[in-house]
Amino acid sequence: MADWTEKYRPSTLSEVRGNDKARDALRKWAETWDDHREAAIVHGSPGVGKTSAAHALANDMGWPVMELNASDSRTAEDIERFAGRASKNQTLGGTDGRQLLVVDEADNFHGNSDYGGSREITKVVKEADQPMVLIANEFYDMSNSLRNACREIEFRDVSRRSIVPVLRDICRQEGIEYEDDALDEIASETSGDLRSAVNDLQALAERNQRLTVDDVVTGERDRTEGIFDFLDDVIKHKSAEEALYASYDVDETPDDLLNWVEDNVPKDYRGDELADAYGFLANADRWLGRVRATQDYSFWRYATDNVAAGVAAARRHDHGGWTRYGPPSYWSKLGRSKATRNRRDAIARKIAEKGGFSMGTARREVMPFLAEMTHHCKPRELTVRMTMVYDLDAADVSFVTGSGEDTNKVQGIVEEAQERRDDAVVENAGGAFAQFEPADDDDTAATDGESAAEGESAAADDDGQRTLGGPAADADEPSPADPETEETDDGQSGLDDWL
Amino acid sequence: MSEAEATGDDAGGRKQVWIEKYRPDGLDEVVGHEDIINRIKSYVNKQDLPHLMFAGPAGTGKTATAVSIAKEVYGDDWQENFLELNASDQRGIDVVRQQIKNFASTDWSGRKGNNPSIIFLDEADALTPDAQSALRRTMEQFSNNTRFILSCNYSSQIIDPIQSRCAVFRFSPLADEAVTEQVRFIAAEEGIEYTEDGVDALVYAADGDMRKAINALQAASVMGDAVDEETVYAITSTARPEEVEAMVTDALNGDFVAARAKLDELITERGLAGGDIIDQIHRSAWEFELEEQAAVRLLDRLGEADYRITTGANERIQLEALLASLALE
Repeated sequence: MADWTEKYRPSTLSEVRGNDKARDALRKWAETWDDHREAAIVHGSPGVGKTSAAHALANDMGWPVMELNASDSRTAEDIERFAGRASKNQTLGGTDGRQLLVVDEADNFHGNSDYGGSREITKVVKEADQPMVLIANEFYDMSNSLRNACREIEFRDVSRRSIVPVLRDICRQEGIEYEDDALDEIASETSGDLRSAVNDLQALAERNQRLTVDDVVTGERDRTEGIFDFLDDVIKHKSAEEALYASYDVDETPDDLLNWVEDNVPKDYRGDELADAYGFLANADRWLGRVRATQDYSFWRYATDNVAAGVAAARRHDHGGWTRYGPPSYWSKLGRSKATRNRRDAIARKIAEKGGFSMGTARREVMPFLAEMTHHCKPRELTVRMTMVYDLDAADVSFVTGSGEDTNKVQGIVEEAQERRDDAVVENAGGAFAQFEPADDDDTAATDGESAAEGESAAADDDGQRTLGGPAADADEPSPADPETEETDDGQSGLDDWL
Repeated sequence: MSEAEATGDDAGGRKQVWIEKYRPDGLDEVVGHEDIINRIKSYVNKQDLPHLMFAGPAGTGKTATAVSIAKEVYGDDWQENFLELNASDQRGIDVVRQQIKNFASTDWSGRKGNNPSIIFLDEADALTPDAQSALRRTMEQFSNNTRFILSCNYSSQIIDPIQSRCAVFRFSPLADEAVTEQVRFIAAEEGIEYTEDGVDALVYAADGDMRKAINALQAASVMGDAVDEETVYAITSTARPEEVEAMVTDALNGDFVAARAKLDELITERGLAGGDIIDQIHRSAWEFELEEQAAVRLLDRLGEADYRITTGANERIQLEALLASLALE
């Protein structure tokens, strides 16, 4: 009577599949915990084995687990009690008294019910006298300070190649016959989610003595009309009426259907039919807007009418052959840009703190200029100073300058900035800073003043030159001065283009 | 089961709500969706039930299937081992942290064999995302003694981590045959007289929603001697499909006056609401042999009238305008 995902949960780290690098990092983190005493953040998509790995680790180390997850109340007080209990256990405990504290869904503290929880976790992480693992789906949904206080261990989606052996193992232990291709099909359909793959395997094994590819394929089919089949129906062959009925069997909300169709219809439709199709899609969008405004979901059907029947009715030409349809690119852009947005905001925060203005101002009115002035880390001296003043790390510098994070150039700049900052503290020499600080103020002045674009550009130009001129003269770096000046011209023309 | 026996002999049957009385006692009695039922039966037979998620519109058997599973596993004691929560009534994170956890962590000494208790979360898509996050770990933690069955209209409204923990089944609207069969069965059980067109009318009015069909049957049986077409259409405030078609056809042929007279009859004499008439035209939109684009335009215009009526416009004027516009197609 078991759910296979529980039955076959790994009991030791060596059984954790598909994430060798993360697994080894986790083990190393645990083994050296006495030395670094950091907490770890384990993050990655659902079903890739994060929680399993944490429990397997505890098992390997012989540490009892104390777990706090989103099904527990997690106010600041609750967390304090949780951490307190853990250290008490330590004193009462046996030989070494270690315990693994696992905080699941650490990216998901509830605003009201978990009031203060997120902040308290950050505090506990820094003070905990027990090893602690935070588990999360979205690394960047956690606060900056929490992320910085912890070691990051990323679990990637489990590849098809790693999923198949797990399924094969389970089949053997359960005495199920299978075709290799069937397991392959299950693995590729669950796209990186090992847990779903095991669930699907179990569901299929219930019905079939022997697993064949056909079982897997039809198993998927009778569940729901696939979105790709639906796109084929709408765009290629079905009548408006049939396309509408097909939409009833697709398990997607009208919002998602609209996105799918909108993104794929231009791959086949042209000219007049495309214009008509977009007319219907725009109508559908209006219905979705009305649903949002009124919260009356009965209007959803009119959106579906337009998306399915409308787009099919707009078809005037034959679209034979096969078209590569894909998920709405708008989604992947959103997904990709999430990390980017977080990075951008983190840098903006640093700049804003230093400059004494809002993050929005830093983002809109300082960062674009910095980006132009330090494009590809040229001039180097300016880039180093920027890195120093704003305390940027390699990823930040890479983001601003567009140079690769792991390149020697960026690494070198970050190191040098660090050294100089240390020196500056020792000598207490304001000189290095003084050179840059006014530039900073200039930026602020330009932005606060709401001056015309021309004025801003002039101020920024001014800035770049003065900062450049300054350090080249009094810092001990005589040689590159000339070429750098030339580079600046580039930077400035780029800046003008941008404006 | 026990309830059915208790009241069955009283004939009347009027003392009880039929949708409760005729809830299936076992998976074999669940109507429609044979594929799904077969797969679930094999889980139950092997005592190997995963968490389940049922997606689909109202009245297609999601709750019936969930209750049947509990009855198959527990027999008469099913109610003690089955917690039903409607997420749209109680949708916050506290429900998960308190009610659900309490039920899941209770050790039922009287539990039959080693079977897990079942938590049925109806309309799970109404749970806030926070509550869904709280739910996901609870599902795993108590998986040795609890199974969750989630029902929702669209599975895509449920966060991925929960979907990945469930076997997902999609319930499509019931076929007319399935509704017909069940209506006849209940009518026979209750000793009700009915006409063939009465059954057809019930099936038409229900439109794939078994709950609606059974409710209408019970209401119609109270109204008169035999359940016939007229009673059913009256009770469900539905116009005969032919009437609606005649009205729209008149309008399409440019005879607006005749079309408006028919509309008047439906609204004033028969007391149909504008929304009901819109629903019916919407269902039969494909039967007027319009060009495809014209048919979609009709659907969109219906929506426009629907939207305006909902936001306070006069239903008669909106529908008249709709009929008048049809002459252009």
